[in-house]
Amino acid sequence: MPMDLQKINTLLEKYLEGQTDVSEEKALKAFFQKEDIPADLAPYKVLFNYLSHEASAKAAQQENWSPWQDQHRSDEKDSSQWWTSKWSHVAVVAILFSVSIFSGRNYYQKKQAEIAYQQTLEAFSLLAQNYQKATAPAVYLNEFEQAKTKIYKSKNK
Amino acid sequence: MKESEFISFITPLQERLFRVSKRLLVSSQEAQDAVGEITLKLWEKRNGLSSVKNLEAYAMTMTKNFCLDRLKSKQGNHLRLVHVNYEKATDHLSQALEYKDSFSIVEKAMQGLPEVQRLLIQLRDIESLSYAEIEAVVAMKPTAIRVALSRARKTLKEHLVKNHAYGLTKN
Repeated sequence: MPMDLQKINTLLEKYLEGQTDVSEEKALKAFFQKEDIPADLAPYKVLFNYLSHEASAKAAQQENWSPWQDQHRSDEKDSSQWWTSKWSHVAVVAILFSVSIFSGRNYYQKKQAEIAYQQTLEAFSLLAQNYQKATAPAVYLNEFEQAKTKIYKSKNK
Repeated sequence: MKESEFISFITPLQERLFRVSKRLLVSSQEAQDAVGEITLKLWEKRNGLSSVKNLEAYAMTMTKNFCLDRLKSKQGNHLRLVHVNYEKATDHLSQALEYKDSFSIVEKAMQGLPEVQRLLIQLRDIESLSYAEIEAVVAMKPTAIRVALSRARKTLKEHLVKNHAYGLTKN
């Protein structure tokens, strides 16, 4: 691990030219984790600390969106109830969506369909988060299959 | 591909797909939607996935294409730039307070980069993928990747030198 500033400056030049390998980049990130950085290297410290920070799982959590595993752990107790309610949500929304597409074409119904579609997408992304919660994946995924078929038929019209 | 296989393949991958989507789409909400849609697409294709050599690269390529398409279609609808308030709680509160503004400066600089450069910084400098892995996702030769990365890194550094010269150094 290069400790002296001469080596660091050489690496930084290489980095800016896109010539560093992964281990050299790792070394740079590690170097800038230290507090004792000369003032002229301060911009690099900010950059590399940012890059290190963005790589960690925390980045996702703090955007009010926890990684699926963490959410799984915290919801373990009422997961089946939650699961059922999400399924009924998807089913209702899917039906609403199909109905609103097929019956009439005025603006209001189009708007409703859009909202329903967005909610379905949201529910699907929540579903994607909770696949591993399902105690009987085959049953639920069959429902999922049906709901999805309805939506994609409508979408692809 | 069975359901359990699909789940064990997609779950660890979604974290990365979210980060990549967010880098391109900026908004967390949009990134979440994107990952939901891509998960759905992969689920539909699950039977064909066994013949795919590199599943992760495949999913990443889908994500890249999806996000770039979305950006293109939104350009016509005047996509407003989402202001990212970089409020991240860390264990070291004082450090968090000190870095909050600095990281916002980098974040802003990132948003100013062309999409491909943004993506490459994400894949190389944040996700630490090899050039071979990156090539599989972006369909660019390593030379082209290096050139683009060099440009992006220089831009970021210049931005920080300009905006950070008066800021936050530890005494």
